[in-house]
Amino acid sequence: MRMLTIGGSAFMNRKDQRGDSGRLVDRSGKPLRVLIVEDEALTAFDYAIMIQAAGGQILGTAPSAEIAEALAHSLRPDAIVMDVRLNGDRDGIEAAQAIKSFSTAGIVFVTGFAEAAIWERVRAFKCTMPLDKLTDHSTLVSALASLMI
Amino acid sequence: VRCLFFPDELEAFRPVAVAVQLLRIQLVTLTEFDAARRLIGALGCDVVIVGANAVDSPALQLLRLSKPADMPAIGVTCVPHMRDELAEAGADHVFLLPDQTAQLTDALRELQNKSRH
Repeated sequence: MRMLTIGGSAFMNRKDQRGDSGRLVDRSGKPLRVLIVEDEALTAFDYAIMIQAAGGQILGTAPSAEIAEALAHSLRPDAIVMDVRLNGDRDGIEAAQAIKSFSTAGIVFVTGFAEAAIWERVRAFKCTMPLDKLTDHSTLVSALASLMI
Repeated sequence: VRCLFFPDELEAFRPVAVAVQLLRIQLVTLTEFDAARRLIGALGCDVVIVGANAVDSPALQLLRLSKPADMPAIGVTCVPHMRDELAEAGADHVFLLPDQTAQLTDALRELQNKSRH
């Protein structure tokens, strides 16, 4: 079951975004460098705006596993927001497994699908926490902030 | 169709994501100039969109210095006087956002239709 509709995201609450300002900056003032992997362009953009408002530095967005791997290799992000369902032959979990072979980036999975099999595969992945796309933006920011500890 | 987007800023250019989403076009966004220069021809993108709101914009520089000759380029801006700058830098089409979001969508749809034939 698809759980997120375009334009229905809770992520665009500008007042709340201001409240998150600075949460994704470390003690030395360095922002968390984030890559977003998401096949819905508008959702990716809204994540990016929200993360930037919280002090993170957006390196880019990728719509597929193939592009995600190329950008992770080239941009060396600190963290990756990874949608589970992606364009192409491989999903976000497979992309994350490939990226983990050459990158130390922390990965936060998001999914709009509630199938148990997907959630089990995500939970089995080390050092990650699956988030529902319907979650409010501060939960995603908190998940990214936890990678900085 | 896969689109590479290199904007000066994110929030002002959200209408680009709206247009791309409407057409189900794959969107690759890059925000660092060096990365964009390095990757512009390497990610299999069919079109580049640059978002520039200032004359010293890195997006404008990318268009001038690094756009592959055979890659269509669309310039978008929120600042009216930047339209000429984008055209002179090599953009095939230039749109003022958010007013011309529909025209941007039409231009992307045309590219999408060409790629299908």
